[in-house]
Amino acid sequence: MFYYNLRYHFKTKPGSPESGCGSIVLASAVAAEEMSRRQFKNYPHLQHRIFDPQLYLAGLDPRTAEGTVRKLSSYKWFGGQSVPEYDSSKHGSMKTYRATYGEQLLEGWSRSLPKDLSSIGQAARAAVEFQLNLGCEAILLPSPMTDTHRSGYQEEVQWLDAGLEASRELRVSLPVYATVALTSNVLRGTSPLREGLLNAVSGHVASRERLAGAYIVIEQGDEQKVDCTSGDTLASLLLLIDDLVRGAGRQVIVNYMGTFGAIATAAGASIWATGYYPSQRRLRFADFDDKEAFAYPRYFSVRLLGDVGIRDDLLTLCKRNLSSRILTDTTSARSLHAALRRGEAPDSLPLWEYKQGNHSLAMPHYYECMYTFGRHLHSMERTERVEFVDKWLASAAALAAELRAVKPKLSGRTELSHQETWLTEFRKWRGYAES
Amino acid sequence: MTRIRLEPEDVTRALEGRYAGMTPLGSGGQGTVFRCHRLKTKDRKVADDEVALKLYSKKAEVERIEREVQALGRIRHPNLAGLIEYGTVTMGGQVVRYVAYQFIDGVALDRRILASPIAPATVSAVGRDVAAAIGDIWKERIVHRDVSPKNVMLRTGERDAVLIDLGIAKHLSQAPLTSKGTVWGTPGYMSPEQVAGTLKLSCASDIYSLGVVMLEGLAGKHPTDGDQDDLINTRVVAADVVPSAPAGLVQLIQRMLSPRMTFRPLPSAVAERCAILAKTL
Repeated sequence: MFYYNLRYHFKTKPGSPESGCGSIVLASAVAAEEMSRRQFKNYPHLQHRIFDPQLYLAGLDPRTAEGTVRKLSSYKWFGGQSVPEYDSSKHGSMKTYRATYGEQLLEGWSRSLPKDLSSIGQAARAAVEFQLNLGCEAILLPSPMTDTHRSGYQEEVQWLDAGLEASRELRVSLPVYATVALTSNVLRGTSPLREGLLNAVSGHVASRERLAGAYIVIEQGDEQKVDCTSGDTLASLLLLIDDLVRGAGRQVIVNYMGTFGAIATAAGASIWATGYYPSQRRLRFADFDDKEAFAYPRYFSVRLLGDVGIRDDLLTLCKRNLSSRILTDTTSARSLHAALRRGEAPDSLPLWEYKQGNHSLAMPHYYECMYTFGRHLHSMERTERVEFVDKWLASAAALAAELRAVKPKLSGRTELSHQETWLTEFRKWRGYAES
Repeated sequence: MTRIRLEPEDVTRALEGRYAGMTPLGSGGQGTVFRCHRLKTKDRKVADDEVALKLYSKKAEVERIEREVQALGRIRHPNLAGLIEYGTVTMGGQVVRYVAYQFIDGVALDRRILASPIAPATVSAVGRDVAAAIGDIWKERIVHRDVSPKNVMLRTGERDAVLIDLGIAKHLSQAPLTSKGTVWGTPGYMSPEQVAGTLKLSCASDIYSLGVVMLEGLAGKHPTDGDQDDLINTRVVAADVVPSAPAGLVQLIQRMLSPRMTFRPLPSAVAERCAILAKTL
């Protein structure tokens, strides 16, 4: 099932799917005092909601990511218990409250997490309580980022058991998921099947009966593309999902993997979340840095499993009679497709014009693509889905190869570098799973 | 520190008024063990309960005993040898530590296997009881790390089994007994992740070891003749080792021996499945 990976704005643009999907709400997107006052009932896509406490972002640098750190630090599991909880009758507006306590929270941001079990227990409980109060459909237990093999997964296990203990104390009846947060650095350079860390990670989730499964995010600090191009990372993700779903009979939620989240449903993931902007499709610490830039619109092609450059490439490819293999029909893209067939550039349509901040139709187009593709995959039996994804990836890889050969070369905004890797890693996983 | 000779009469004298009728059961790397009776505190008469009394004096043994006492202090389970008391006595001018456990009337599985292969129903009963014990200690986040035939007692009558010796059991929050990278366990019974020795173990490791124990019980000999490397490098096919054993039991053991932790069943699932097999085979 497709879930939105939401940022600050919960309201989706007209044309975006609303029912039959859900949302993941992020601690880094909205400060605690505001999050707990947001009205969820107004948004159909938030009726199924999960809140990610994002403890794995504890290492963010406030010198470069001050805006995000200010938001995160307001949550109790990051140290927000050092200031009084927001109360409008005492503190006035949220702006006044932030002006009073914001600096204190920022100064208290140590880029590290508590080591003693008592503090870990308090923090884990605060994260569970917050999600209960938010009316989430499942609880994500907070976890630090695993960025080294050296600690032997000790710290993560302490947080996991503290979260489980808090869930027991609070009599949580909702499904409880362990957060598995890994950096791609720990996944590189070794065969995932021989990788002891992955075995330990999935083993610890599987050995705790209370857990419904795992919520997996992978930080891709060295990824230059929007879509993951690291074979080791992709293979590790598929293997983790397979271990947990086929091995241990648990559920898996995947976030921040873009459209590969949909591919991951073939390995058994039950929920996958992504978002329109690159920072919602992949998890990179650098994406949390304070920036003023406004993004350009992006056009997503389901057949290519990637974006096609709007400004130059879309019209070029349609003129070469590739429109049927490139374009994905959605409500939001109909006017664009009609213009392209007439030989007109996207810039002729104000709502598709290639200019910063113009996402009026590109964004709902992307979400409709994700929703429809995800729903189609979800409707299949597992073996049928595996077969379908295999063929789809093969077709996307062939199309990408064909587009790479187009002369003159397409702009860098058309994404052609990940499809072959996705296909290779998917087939490796399939070979393992079926052996 | 020189090792003290722990003769029955010396031990009886040292523990006079508390324990009587010392019969040596064995001596080795885990100290010296006696079977005896505990005396009632008030009248010093022989109590009903028989006791296995372990005495230790070496530093390494002391660390193990303290670890075991800590582990057993948290848990009471019918398939774990219960802790009765622990303390110290002075013998020959040296402090000797002792632990008294509930005495298990039966035979250690390694000795029983030497006699003959074990019937599938009995192996299932062992699986049921030891998996239940593994599950219970795991609730306290303790991993036994040494599930092997020598640490499983088959009670007289062969209807139930008890897991003993939590001497190298490890709570997840505990530091290793020695330097990092040291592997603890009995060669021939360790899971791949236990051999790797670098990551936090879970109950899945004990389940792997139990799978080896059960297969050895059925076959009457270790599946790789005790070779640890062969055990994890060559995929042991349980059906080849015991071709005539009941398919349901063999399939369960095969899953317990999975190299990947998540593909091994949980202790509760092993206990449940084995309980059914023990009744029906």
